[in-house]
Amino acid sequence: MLKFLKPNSIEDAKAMLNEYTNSKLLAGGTDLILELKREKLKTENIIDLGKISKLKALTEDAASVTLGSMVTFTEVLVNSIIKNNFNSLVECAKNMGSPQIRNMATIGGNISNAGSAADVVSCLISLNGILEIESINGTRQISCEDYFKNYNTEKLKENEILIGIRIPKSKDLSGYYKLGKRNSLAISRVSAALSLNIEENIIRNISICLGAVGRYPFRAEEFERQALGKNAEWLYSEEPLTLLENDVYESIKERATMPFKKEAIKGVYKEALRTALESK
Amino acid sequence: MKVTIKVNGKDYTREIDPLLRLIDFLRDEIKLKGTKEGCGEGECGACTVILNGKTVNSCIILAAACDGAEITTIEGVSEDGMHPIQQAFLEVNAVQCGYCIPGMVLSTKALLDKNIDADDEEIREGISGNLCRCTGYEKIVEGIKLAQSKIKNS
Repeated sequence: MLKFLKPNSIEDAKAMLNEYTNSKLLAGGTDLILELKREKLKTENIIDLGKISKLKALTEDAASVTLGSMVTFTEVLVNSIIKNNFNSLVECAKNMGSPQIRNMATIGGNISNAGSAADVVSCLISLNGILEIESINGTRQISCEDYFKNYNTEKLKENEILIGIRIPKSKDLSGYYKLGKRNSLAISRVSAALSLNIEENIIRNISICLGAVGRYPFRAEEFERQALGKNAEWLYSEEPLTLLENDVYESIKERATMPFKKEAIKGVYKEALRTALESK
Repeated sequence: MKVTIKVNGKDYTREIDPLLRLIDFLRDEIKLKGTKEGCGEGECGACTVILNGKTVNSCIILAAACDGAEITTIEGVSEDGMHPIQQAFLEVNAVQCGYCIPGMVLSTKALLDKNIDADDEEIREGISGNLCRCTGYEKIVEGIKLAQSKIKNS
């Protein structure tokens, strides 16, 4: 019979993962439980991370903010550290699922499950978030961007746990927008997260990440290169729209949703930009 | 495995399968049938209960993960008689088939416990995880507004 394990500490959880092969980590469970029930997924052991208070912590120091992997979307939505630093995460949490889902679903679960539409991943990539991963053999840190760029080699190993996500503080403004089929509960069809710094009307720094338009969210690198050093007005011109359209086309040209998504990305970008600028 | 879950103020200890869902624990193990199952996948909110102060979909939570937790179901929403939210729903005819109502009442309770002055938008956001296929929500929102004044004046 399936074993249900409840470690009280990260150390215990790592030891259990090592001892019991064929285990699944349980975070909020909003995806895992359906997969288990539908027998899409089989496991011999469930390791419930719900008793480890350290994983639920949200902390800051002078240079960065660290979200424990078991921080829920509700916590992201109401936490003042997040509100004061990363507007895009607030926008993302606001639009994720329903109140009931936000109360359970965790940031770590959203990342580990690695859906192409994982809401929080594009924000974390555009904010230069770093994943902190541990196992009984040691720890490793990898940028969220590299994790998804090289997913096949970098993804969590059987014995690894995503402990938290560290996001460097910066003066950048950030924003996020997702287009779903309806307001609440919808899985994103197209999303964009961006963070930018404009000084004396010059774009000094910008990072933009597109979600649900490829296997994993990715940065619009050509857009970023073109934008640097330009006047802020460039952001509202036709040029960025064309660059984003091209990125979406190249990423999903074989897919039936491509004609829709390459148009939709333009509006999604404008809205994401608006949420960033309005957060000032 | 053995779990103890406090439901509506009373401890229930049961030997359960680790994959038993919270909704099955409530309906089948302790025979509280007020919690309804709709979609079974966390979309419709019919199975909403309050877990340690927060609304959750009991169809996508394992009972095993609730060991030691406190749950409020629709049966426990009021100690005697009807809760003002239920009373208000009745008075404005917010209930048609009634299947979504236990979840709707609990989402409303969680919302008003936190923010009794919730405005129109906050109310609609607060019940956005509860689908109703009968009413078009207008009467439900009206009921919630009446409940706000009932609670404030009580």
